[in-house]
Amino acid sequence: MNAFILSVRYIRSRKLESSLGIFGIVLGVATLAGTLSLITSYESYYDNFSRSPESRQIRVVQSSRIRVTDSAAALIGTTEVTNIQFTADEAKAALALCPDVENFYQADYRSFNTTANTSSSSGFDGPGGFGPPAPAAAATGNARASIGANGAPADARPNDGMFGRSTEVIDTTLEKPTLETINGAMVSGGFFSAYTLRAKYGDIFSDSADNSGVPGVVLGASLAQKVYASVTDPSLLIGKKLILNNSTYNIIGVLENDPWNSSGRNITFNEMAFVPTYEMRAGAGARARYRNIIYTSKESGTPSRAAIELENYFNSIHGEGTVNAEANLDRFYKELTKRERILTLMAILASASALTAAINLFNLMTSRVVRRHRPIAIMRAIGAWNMRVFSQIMLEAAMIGTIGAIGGIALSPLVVRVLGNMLENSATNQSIPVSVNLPVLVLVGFGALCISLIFAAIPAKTGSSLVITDALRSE
Amino acid sequence: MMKRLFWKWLRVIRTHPLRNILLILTTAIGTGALGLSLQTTARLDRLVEATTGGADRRIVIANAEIGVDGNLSWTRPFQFSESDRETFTSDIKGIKVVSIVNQTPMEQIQVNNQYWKPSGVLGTDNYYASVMGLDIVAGNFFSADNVKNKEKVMVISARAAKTLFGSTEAANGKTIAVDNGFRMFGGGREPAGGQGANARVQISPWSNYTVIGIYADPTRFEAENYGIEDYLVPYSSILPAGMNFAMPVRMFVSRISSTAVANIESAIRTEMDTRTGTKVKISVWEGSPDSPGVSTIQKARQSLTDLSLVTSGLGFLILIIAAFGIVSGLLVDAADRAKEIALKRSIGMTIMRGTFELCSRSMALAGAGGIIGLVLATVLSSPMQTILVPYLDALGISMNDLTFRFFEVRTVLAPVAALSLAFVFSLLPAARAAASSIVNGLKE
Repeated sequence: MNAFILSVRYIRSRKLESSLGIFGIVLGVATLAGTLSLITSYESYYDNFSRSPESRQIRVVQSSRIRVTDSAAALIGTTEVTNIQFTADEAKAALALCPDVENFYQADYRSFNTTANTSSSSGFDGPGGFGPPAPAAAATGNARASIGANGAPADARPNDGMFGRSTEVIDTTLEKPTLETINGAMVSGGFFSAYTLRAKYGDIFSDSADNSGVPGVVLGASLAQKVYASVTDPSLLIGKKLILNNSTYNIIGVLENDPWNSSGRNITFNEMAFVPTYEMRAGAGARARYRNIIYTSKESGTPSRAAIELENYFNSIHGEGTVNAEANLDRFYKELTKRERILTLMAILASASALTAAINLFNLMTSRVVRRHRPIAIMRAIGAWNMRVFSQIMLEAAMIGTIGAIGGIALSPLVVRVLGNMLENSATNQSIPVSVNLPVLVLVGFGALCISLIFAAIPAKTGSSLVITDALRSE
Repeated sequence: MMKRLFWKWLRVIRTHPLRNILLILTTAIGTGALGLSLQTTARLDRLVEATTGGADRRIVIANAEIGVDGNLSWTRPFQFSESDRETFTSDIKGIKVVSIVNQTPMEQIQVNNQYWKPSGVLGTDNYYASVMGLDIVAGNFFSADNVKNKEKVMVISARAAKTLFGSTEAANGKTIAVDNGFRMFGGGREPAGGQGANARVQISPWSNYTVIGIYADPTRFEAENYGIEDYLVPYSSILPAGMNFAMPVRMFVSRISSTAVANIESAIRTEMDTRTGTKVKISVWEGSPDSPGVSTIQKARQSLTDLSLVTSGLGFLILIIAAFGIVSGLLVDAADRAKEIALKRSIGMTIMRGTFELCSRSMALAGAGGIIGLVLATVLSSPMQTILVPYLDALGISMNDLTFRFFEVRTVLAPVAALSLAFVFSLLPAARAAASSIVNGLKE
């Protein structure tokens, strides 16, 4: 206890010096803990994401439809590329031949306008564009990647096409939804299995059911609660009619609220509306031809391996190098790697600041020991052992280190937020939530304390092994 | 003078060698980190400056509204017309030049019996080169007549010319066969494969374009941010020359003066509303036609500012911590030399002189650290760029976009910051030590 009081007194006697030393440790610990916490946060999110259904989705598309970005042109060869359209039989056969794959479906993500006579498109894609819609582009925000490249075959499509006009008579007496625009997707039945989406009220649509006539729409749980001002009970929505992009849909189901299914997506399924694809509505599912297909890898399998299996399978049918399959997990990993590279740089700089703080502490303790030669010599002269002097100095360093570490840990959430925002601003398409990782902060704090003690050990050793007579004579 | 200064530095360092070397090391780390950050920032700033081209800005004007999903909700039928190009140029204050743009499909191209997947093609008019400030290195940009007559001519980038023909010179005048992806049928009512005069035949999607000009490659950063494609064709060329049908116009790009984008949007909206008598959907943004509503330049600028702030901030932080160390050293020095200072003051040394003497020690250490840090920053410049590659890639910046100079003048700010911090942090403690009581000092 006496040693503790003595240490406090020594620290207080040199307030400015001590404060500067402590402040240095605070800054060093805060930057290092914040950076490492962010890295851990990303890795933990990756682990979580890698178990989510979103990570297991694999998009199969013709290689030549992928936009060339790193050069002016990519060599195809001496043979002209013809547009590949995957048949439903091919798609089904892949399930039997690729052991890591369990499901396939179509999904064309888009926004729906709930008022008549308007439609939405990006560039030439989507309803109202020159070409067919762009599901993956809308999903990833990379609309350029698929100009006229994605979507279902160019069959006759009600209400679509650049110069197309709706032939459907819209009932203008229908209740107007509170939302003018709804995010959603045109999906085939397999989509619901891929994401294990279940209906809480009503039902979902399936590939085998008759989807002709007034098509059904399935609403996400959150969307269902706000789509109409007059209906607060989602179960009462079943059977109600809803206009989406100039077509009338019958609300047939409301999904269960399940955030896990949408983890990793910028817009959750709870906020979206799902309608059947054109092929399902035309009853042409069996003879449909697709420009791209989305597969789901088995939970027990590896998405990357499943992607290779699919690529090999489709290339064996359409020719070597003609088809590309990429798992969402691989795309996410690229984004993660980019962020971690920057964070590594930050961690190096943060370590440099921590090292600087440690050197400061060393200097601080050395100067204190030099100035306390006489008191130390007197302590030794009246019976204090070397170890007593050594532990006294170490205790002082430990106190400075502890205060600095606690301050640094307290400041680190701010560092996490600043760095996280910076990386999010430069993100290409994937938003990654960040969180403060307490164990990492504690570990860095503990590390700072240990380093403080290591750096204080030399001055403490010097102080404890003073020659009493020399010290008393010279002072 | 320099020699005397050097010996003084050496004397200062020799007083407590280990402690002082460590102090110099900490300052060197801080200066190095700050120097590296300033060096990178200088290169990135130069790139942004060269891309944005001073005060002028390049905007996209679309006959659409931007939806909540970030996509464009187009007006049907389009309310823009070709004549709006002249109207906007002459009537809207701040607009310098306007060009029509249309994304044009080009699935594959054929050159010398080889098939290629092109990066991107843009249908535009003869004003595009002025809007984007393209530098034509061979041939010419297409003319108004080329556009009017729906001629199949093409202007390509230097990198496209090198990839496809080996050089810019070799590309000029050559033919590129283009597959626009439209596989239409015509000529009869029978299914494909029928025989005779009524047989339904597929119209070839292939057409030949003649390269009439090559433009110097803009930086990848500029090309990505303003949507400058490698292949530029007249926007009307997608139609057969004899077809009596005008291509719909739904988007313009424009070079404007320093006028605010919001003001331009408001003026265009007023102009269009008055002309059409209806409320026209208009969206105007700075950047690329592919990124509706997003000022890609602004986003890139923001990201680069964030990066530079964080790295400079960390460098500065290390310098501050190092300055704390230097101040701690100064306090010890002042305590050690209390008797000496008191003696000097008793024989006439002023407080200011005493302060300066104590501060000079801090400055000597900071100066030594600053110089070492500067050298470190210059040496580590290349590895730093390598680490930043993925980050810069995400912003559409390739390493080739950055102009390297062995020594960036801005880097000098790092040792200056080290010296300034050392001086500022040392001044007060030094003044306090120098002003302490002479009697007490002599008693020591």
